[in-house]
Amino acid sequence: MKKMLSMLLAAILVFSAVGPVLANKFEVTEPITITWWHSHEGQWYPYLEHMVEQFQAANPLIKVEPIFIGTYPEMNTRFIAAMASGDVPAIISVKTEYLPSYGAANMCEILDPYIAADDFDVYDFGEGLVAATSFEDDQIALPYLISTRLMYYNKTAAEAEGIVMPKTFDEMEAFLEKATIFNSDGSTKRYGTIFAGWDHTYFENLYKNNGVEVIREDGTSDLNEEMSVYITTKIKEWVDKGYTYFQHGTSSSSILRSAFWDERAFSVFHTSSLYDTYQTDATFEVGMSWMPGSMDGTKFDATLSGAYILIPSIAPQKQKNAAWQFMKFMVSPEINLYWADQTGYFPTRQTVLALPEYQEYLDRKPAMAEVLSMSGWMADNDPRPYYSACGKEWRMALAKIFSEGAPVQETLDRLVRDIEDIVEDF
Amino acid sequence: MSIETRVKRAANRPHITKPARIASVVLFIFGIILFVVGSYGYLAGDLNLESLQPIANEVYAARKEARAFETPITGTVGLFGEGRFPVPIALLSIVMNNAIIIALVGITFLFNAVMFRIQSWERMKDLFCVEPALFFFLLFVYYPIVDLVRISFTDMRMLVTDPQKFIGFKNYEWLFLRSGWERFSESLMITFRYTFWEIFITLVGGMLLALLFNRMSKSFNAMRAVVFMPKYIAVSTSAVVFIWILNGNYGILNYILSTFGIKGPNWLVEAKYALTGILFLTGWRVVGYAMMIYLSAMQGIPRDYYEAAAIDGADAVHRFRYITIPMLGPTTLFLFVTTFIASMKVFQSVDVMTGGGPGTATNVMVQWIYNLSFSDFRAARSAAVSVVFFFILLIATAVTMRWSSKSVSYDS
Repeated sequence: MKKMLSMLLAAILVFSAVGPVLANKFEVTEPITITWWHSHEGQWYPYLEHMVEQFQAANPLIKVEPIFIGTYPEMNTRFIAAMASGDVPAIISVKTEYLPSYGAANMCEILDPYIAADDFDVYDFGEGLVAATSFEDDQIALPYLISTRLMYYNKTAAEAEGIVMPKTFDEMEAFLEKATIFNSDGSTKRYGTIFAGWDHTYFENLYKNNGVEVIREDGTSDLNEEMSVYITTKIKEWVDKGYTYFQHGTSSSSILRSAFWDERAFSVFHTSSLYDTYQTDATFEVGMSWMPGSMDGTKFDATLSGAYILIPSIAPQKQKNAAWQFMKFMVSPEINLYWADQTGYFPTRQTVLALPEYQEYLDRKPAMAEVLSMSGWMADNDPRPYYSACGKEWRMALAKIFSEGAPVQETLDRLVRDIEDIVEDF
Repeated sequence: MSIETRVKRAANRPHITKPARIASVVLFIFGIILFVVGSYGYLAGDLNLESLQPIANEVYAARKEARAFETPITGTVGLFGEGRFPVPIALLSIVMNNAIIIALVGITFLFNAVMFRIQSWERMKDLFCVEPALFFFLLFVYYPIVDLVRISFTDMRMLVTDPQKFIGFKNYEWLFLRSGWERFSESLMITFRYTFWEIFITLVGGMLLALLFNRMSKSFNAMRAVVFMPKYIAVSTSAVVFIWILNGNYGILNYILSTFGIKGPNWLVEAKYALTGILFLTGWRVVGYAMMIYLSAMQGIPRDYYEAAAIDGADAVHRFRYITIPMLGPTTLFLFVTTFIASMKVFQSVDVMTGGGPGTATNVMVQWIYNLSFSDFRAARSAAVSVVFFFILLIATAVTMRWSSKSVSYDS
């Protein structure tokens, strides 16, 4: 008995000594306030507040102060300045395309130790999203709100007029011919579609799916070669015929939406995250169609977009610990589905599919169900830190061709020179 | 030299007291120390001198750890290699963070040390009054210019925290001999076009309004205030309002045009109209200010000139051409130079209204510089463009001043 008692005491002693070591070192043990920089505009505030309230109720030690910074480019500027000054928030939402640059600059906390300590199942997001939020095999962010580029169309008109959305790029011409309506004076009454030209991610896969390499491994580009010239010339031809135009410049996104709602466009290229906005303000049924794929019908990549969340690498450890708790909550299956249901973002976690509310969500949004069946084609952003700058040059070159009538080959040649110079600079 | 001259000079020489001599020596010693310490910090932190990089890296690592765990920086580092002249890392971190300030304080001390030897105490008191302003002027105006030049010779990128490398004239080679040149010349042309129209609106619009409001009744005072008010509204705020006014589909401008049967363009979306759209805002803001300046100048023209001219038979147009315009010469020059410099640096309205687009239609020089840094993260190339643009502005302003000094009469 004595022996057993002494063994029991010894065991208690050992565990009491080891206990604190075994406890999660990232746990939050005292009250703390963290700030979260985000880019959610007014219409998202109710969902944002709901999320923060739920989190604070479940985690009474942590108070979250969400701060609206502005658009994602503005957020980017502020984040850079904050890293230079050392005055950073605990958590920050960033545009997907900026993440590789932040990763290369060591601006993000590496999340692997937190993931390991909490046994957090990061692969529940799927391998593609894990890869997209990693940099050189380190997990540096988590997928927060994920959407993709696709086409919205007037489903009511499509059914009435027998218009079928194009599945591949070479089906585009026939589709545009059928969907475009002209006035008696020859001007366009209803555009077949409108290309979104304010961000390269809206059109890059029309090229990439057909084999165009925007930046090759050796830093050169084939944007001025045969296939790219063919696609650009085709789109220019459609622009000249009045089937479509390239929407860019100030307030592009809202102008595009208005054109669609006012039925001045049969379809538009836009982000899936705006599904609810499109549906709410339209007087007709809104359909969604996946981005037209390669001409041979074998590749249907569409760029993944939306926002990731990350913890700045220079934030104090206590802030990081609290931020990690909030981060986990933000991407939890319940919140993931909540955002998906309220907006047009995709449910990104596999476990969401098992939730009883998931089927109800699909029933409410049949158009989303169609698109989700293609979500395996969502393609990661190019991870090279200079890609975004090159994409901007590409967008400006296409704007010159489609809107100002610049010659195709000459403009693309100049674009390639610019791209090669940017790559060299990096 | 005659004895008289020598005596005169000796009498004019300030009397340097003993305390002044002591102060001079003390300031000299402290000045040297601070200058050397500051320079060391600058070489290690900003210039990333290769031999000092291991020491700087130790400081960066200690800072990172301290920040992560919210603890003070601890430990020592050898200033001249391992174990040689050890100093606390915390101290070196402060020096590296404030290197320029320390070096500038050192220079100020050295300057005062010299001044104490050649100036009287009365004059030194005057100097002390000026020095703080001079110090901040050097720190916040001239140091950034010098540092900009330094950055233009490095490979600095906005997001990269690794030490910058000096790459010679590579950024200038890109700017003048490679793809940078096309964009630079395009951007410069857009900037000049914008500047031309802003100057035109300022001078012509301001003068016409001044002629209109050059009466001293109460209602005219109120109207002048209304015209002048836009100058005091933040550019970003008014730019947002103008985005709405100029909206192609729902904007009030196109609505008004449509009542006359004119279909207005999509001002800020169509490349050929975007700059005009921005100039609407510019005109609305600047014209009132120019009017006020012209008005005050017009009030200063003696009435006798007009009366004499009227007696000689000059009509209103002649009086305006031969009296008002020449008498407003200095004012016009002032407005021309200030508007020229301000409009060449236009940024805020462009950034809010178009961001340099559509395409590159409104990509004025400062917008391009900003985009290179904060959108493409290419800070070094952005710095190279800034340096060249700085010299263009400097030369253009000097030429303008020189030309105008010959053509404008200040004789009233």
